[in-house]
Amino acid sequence: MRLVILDDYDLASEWAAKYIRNRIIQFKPTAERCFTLGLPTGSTPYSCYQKLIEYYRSGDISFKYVKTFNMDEYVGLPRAHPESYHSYMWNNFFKHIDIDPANVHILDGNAEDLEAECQAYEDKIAEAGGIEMFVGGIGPDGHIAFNEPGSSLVSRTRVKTLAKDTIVANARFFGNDLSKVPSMALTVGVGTVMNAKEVVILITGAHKAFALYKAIEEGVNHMWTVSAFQQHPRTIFVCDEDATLELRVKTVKYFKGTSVLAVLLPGLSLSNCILCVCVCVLDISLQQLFQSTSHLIGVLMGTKRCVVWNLGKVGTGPTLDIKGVCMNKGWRCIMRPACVCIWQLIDCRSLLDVGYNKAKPCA
Amino acid sequence: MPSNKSVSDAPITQFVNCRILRGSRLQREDLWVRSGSILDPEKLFFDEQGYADDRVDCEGSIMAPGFIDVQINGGYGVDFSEASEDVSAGVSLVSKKILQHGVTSFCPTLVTSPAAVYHKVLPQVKVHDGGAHGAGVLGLHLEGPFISAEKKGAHPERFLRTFQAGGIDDLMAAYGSLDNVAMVTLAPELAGSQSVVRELCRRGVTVSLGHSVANLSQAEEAVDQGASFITHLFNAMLPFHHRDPGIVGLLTSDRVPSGRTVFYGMIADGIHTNPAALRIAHRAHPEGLVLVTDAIMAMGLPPGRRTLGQQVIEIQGLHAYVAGCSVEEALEAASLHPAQLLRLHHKGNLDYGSDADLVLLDDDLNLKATFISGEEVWKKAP
Repeated sequence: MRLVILDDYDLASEWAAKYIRNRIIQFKPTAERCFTLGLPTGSTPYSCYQKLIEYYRSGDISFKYVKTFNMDEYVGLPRAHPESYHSYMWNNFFKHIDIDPANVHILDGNAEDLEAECQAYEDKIAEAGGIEMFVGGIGPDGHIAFNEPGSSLVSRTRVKTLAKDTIVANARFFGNDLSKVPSMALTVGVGTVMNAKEVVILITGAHKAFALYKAIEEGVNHMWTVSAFQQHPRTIFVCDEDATLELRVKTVKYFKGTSVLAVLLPGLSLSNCILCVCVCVLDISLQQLFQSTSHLIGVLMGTKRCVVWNLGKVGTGPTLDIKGVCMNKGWRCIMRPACVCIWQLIDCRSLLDVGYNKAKPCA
Repeated sequence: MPSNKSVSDAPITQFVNCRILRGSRLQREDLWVRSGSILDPEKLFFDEQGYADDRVDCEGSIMAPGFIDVQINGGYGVDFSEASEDVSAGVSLVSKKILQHGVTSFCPTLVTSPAAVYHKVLPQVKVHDGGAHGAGVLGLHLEGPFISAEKKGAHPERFLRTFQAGGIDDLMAAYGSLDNVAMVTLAPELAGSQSVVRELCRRGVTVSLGHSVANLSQAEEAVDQGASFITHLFNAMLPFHHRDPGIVGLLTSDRVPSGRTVFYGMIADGIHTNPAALRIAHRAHPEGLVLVTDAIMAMGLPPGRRTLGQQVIEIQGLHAYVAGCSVEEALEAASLHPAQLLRLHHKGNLDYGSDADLVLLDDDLNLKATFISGEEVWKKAP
């Protein structure tokens, strides 16, 4: 498990959005080989969707060859109802991007035969080659999708009755009238999400802190269904400071301390790349460097591309985005505390383009 | 996005980068149009898995429903009250010209005229949809001759009439036929008018009160019988008096049946009504305000002597528009409220399923383009 802790909700959303963006780009989806993405709804991923829309608008990413599978949908709620998950996804995501409507899959809560609908959904996922990355949230009771406490950890897509906690939590979207909240939903199973190649869980806010604690510091337990992902080979929990409030200090320090310079250098060719590593060693110690916020800098090398992830709060350092063209006024900025950057530039020209010449050496 | 002709034969147009008037607010939303109607894009996305064939970039303009003018006596040299041989040509000319003012539907208005004129003109004007040829005709507005002599305004006195014993029969004798008539203005204090109001409403004709010296209770009685409009508020009626507000009192009358709105036309040129009076009316009853031009044949023509029906009048100077409310309210007064008055649910709004009669405006509400049924019918020259 990776636990990525950001200072606040906005930064956590930005981190997650960048991660999703970069993975899609790295995958290089085509018409024959789409990137399958599992998607959540709710207030937690809202800002993440906003960021993804921003990246689409600025031309960083296209969703043309992305297939999406949403986690859940209410039963019996008209599709055009403003609180249906179809409406949520349309208004907050699909209408702003270039996704092909034929690639969008959301469970139909008004189907004649709900069980057949669930089975068909599983079949569609299998047909699409499985889910590449499933993004999800967590309920205050530790549920993933609508897999309420007590759900089987190997469950598949099915109809679920909602727990009281969930109905109460959702009442705010229905004018605080409990009777208006649907009591049943179709949901992907824990097993369905576990089948994904990678799982990213977004957890923000103090009200989710206890659930996060149960999910990662206690055992695998069907009462806290998110805990099942302890047994998934590739899970990332992205959270803000508030969500870590119930965790042990030791756990938090450990994961913040792994501001690992995770460098993936597949196909590195020395003849056409320049590798620059700047580490701030000036007036702060290494410990301080890693202390305040967690960083995870990854570098992905693609041909003719400079991709740098700055996956944590940078403080006053630069945010290098995918085109690799920002360079925040020279080395000094980069030298600011808590910032570690790795560049990998494919050719000297791009190095010059990003203003290498203007950079001053470390003072 | 590749072209989507497989989903439907009719092309789908998406207007992007605009602020549309919906729900009484200007919202940053795209507007989708197919086959002359406004489309629900969410349904298109999920049900049909469709997307747009063309995208029109509105460059941040305001998009409002096309304007509807329920009182326009003519323009550009055409006088609707003139008994010419080819009235429809005149109507067509005006309907084409008003596109450049953003008017997509209108009611050609006839002032008080002799029966012969009505019998000649009315059969020649038909309700029809708008298009590239011009704005749509929603029906005639017959202002008079059953109005008060004391408040005739610019109408010729010798052709005023009253209801004799027959009531509606007198009206039919005057007009000849009520086909293609959308609205009739009359004075409710005339004896026998109440039954006429009732009968007209029963036949689906909107009844308006105007050119009248009625007091408030006479006006309220007419509203009870179904009257729903006031022709150019303040003009050609008794002034507001605190012990008998007259027709003006309808704006805040508690005798208006619940669920019904009394609309009132305003000529907001700053000349017919003092802007302060306009604001009083607007603040008292904002949902009823309907902007009208009451334009005459001289509109669009240079100054000089012109005819208005049977009268001759002098034209001098220009008119000016007066603002006094929010942009959204002003736009609704010119589009939504007239549509509500005439009970046209598919016009005057940008809801899904409504007719795609649109205007594109800049922030100062200058017109940039006019669309009828989704087709661009006028564009401002760059």
